[in-house]
Amino acid sequence: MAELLTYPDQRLLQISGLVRHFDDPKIDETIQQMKETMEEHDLSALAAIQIGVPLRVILLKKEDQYMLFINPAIYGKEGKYFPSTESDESLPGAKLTVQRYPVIKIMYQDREGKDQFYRAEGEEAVTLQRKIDMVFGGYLFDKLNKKERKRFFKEHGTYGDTCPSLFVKDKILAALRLFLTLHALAILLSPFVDMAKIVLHYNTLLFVLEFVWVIFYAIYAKYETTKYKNCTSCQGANVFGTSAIYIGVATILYLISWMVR
Amino acid sequence: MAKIVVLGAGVSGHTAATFAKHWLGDKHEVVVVSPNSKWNWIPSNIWVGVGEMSPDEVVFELAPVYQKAGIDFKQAKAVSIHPEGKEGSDRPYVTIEYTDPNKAGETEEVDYDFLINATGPKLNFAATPGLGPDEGNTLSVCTYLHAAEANTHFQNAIERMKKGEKLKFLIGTGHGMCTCQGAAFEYIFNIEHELNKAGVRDKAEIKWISNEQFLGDFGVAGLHIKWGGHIVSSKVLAESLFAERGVDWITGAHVKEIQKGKLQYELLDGSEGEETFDFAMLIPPFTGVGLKAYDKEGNDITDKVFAPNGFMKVDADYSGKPFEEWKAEDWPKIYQNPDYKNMFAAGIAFAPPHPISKPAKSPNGTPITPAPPRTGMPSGIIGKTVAQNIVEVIEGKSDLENLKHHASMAEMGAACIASTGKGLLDGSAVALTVYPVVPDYDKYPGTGRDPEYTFGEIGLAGHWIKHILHHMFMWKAQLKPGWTLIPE
Repeated sequence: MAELLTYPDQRLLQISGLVRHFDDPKIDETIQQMKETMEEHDLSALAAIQIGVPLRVILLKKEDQYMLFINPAIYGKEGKYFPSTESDESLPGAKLTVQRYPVIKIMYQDREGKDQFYRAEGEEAVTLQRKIDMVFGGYLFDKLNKKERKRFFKEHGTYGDTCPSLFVKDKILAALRLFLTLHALAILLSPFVDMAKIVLHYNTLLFVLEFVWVIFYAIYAKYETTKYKNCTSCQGANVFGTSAIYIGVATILYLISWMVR
Repeated sequence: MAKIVVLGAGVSGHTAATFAKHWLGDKHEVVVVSPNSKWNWIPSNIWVGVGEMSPDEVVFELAPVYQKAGIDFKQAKAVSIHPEGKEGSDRPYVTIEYTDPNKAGETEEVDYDFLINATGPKLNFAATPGLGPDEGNTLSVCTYLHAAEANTHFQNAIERMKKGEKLKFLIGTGHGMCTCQGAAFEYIFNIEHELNKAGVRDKAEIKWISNEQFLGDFGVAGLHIKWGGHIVSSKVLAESLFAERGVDWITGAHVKEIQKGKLQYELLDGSEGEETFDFAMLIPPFTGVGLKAYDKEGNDITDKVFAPNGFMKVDADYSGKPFEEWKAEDWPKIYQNPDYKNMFAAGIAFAPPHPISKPAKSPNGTPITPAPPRTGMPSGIIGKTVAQNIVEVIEGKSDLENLKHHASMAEMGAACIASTGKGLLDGSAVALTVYPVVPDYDKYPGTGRDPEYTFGEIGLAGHWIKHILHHMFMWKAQLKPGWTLIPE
């Protein structure tokens, strides 16, 4: 028997690859382990990824017989989406409502690698949709909208590799934003208030300061986000884009200050 | 003085010709043969198809651009290639037939030292009876003129719905072997977005029909996207998007025949079905443009030079291996014809060794597998790489047996921004990156893709990027200042 992985185990949150070599002995070994795990936990269906094997293999127990689906793909469905409230042994304690089809048509391969087709309906269709999502790397929480997903992560914890809620890089950026706002305000007031004229006088110095600030942000952000590879706001392109925008704003302020002067 | 002849002025051919000329200067000659007088930024055609851009915004006249660049432009279509020359001359040449209104129908022999075949695809509407704008049953967005025609029908449909009619929109692929699902995907969501804007969304039933094995396959075996902190297949993203926007779908479908307002299809399981529609935009399958090839004696060697689908054979493995034996090395690296080393094929014109998605046949033997897409980014990179290799041969830095620069699609990433609605503040697009385009199952066991270089996001920022890219590539293609700095 293999360990039944539960959220937020990183081994569970992998995407499974297509089975390409049907003579690989690992397939039978995996199927055997899946059967044992299903018996032990009294499960009606299991995806290989739930025991940490990233292969597109699903077992469904139907009237004490096991049905094997290798490389399953849903190519058709019947009826309209309906809300289905589900739980899954890999997400203990979670009961989530997602959209499912009442009937699905699956193309898959059998143990010999031959194409087969299957039409599932009712509870079986719902279970298979959930398991097929899993082999494509999708879990119940992936089907929730942003707000509901946030709530799920709050209740069940994130899996460590998502963005932390607060980065130091964001504080550097917030401070720069404030500085640029005050800078812009001072330029606006400069025709009327003598004290504000200082920003025109030292415009080059201010531009250099803001430029260096952005560069410092970019370097620090790159350093800080190295460990968060899976986080969208940590992508190099994002840091680069943000830096470019702020340099653009600083440049505009610099040009305006010359014009006002 | 060396002479490079480029057949085709699409993304790949135009990139190859302009860079070759840029690098070689006036010491050598670059000739472009294209039946079209205009260059078209094809990715923006979907916006022409919903009336958000005019046809003029996505094209420009090629002749003045080539004149400025010092490229000899012949508005003509290539008819045949004679890589061994003819009796009495060893010099290879192509036969062309002018489409230029001033010389229409005239033929000419254009000799070359190096040939780049970048003729792109022939839109093979004939593969499915009743398919395509000429038959009057379905529309297309594959050319700017098709897209403009689709928009006329679309605006008419909106008017009808405003009067209370309920209409059904069917969008997707018109054959089991189509590629370019991405364009149809963009079009269906732009249609949905525009119908919302026009206030008639409730009058429209919108349905997707495609030859993908699953929703989100896109002809590349799916994309793997970092989403919410872990990697998810585009299947999950696509299903969510279709559900959210209320768009129905059928996949694994080979469209067999189309009549006015209805079509028949065969599914992967061999069953058959029928769909009715009031408006249909179905992408046709692609084949080669039908170029012929002849040897010195005038014998037809088309089968030797071209694959059965009409695309040119290059340095790929065409042995027809089964899916489980596919390797990254099957894909071409230098796009050089194995028999005639001074002949190259770039962009869509080269024959891929096999699909990217897992192949499938219905029990009746009908193949229902997306053909491999070659979008703008790989096409541009391939065109530039081919030009770079040829230029180095001309300059004596390398020879045709040892070309240095590679552009294998199995070693190349691609960024794709698929529009799902146009608008400055309410637009959206799905931004995706994938590496490599062709899965390398040995290097990245499982999905064949590097999870560190995948990225996906949907939102307004993606739309802005798509819009900026439109202007950037139009700028680059017109060879305006700084064009060489803009990446492919």
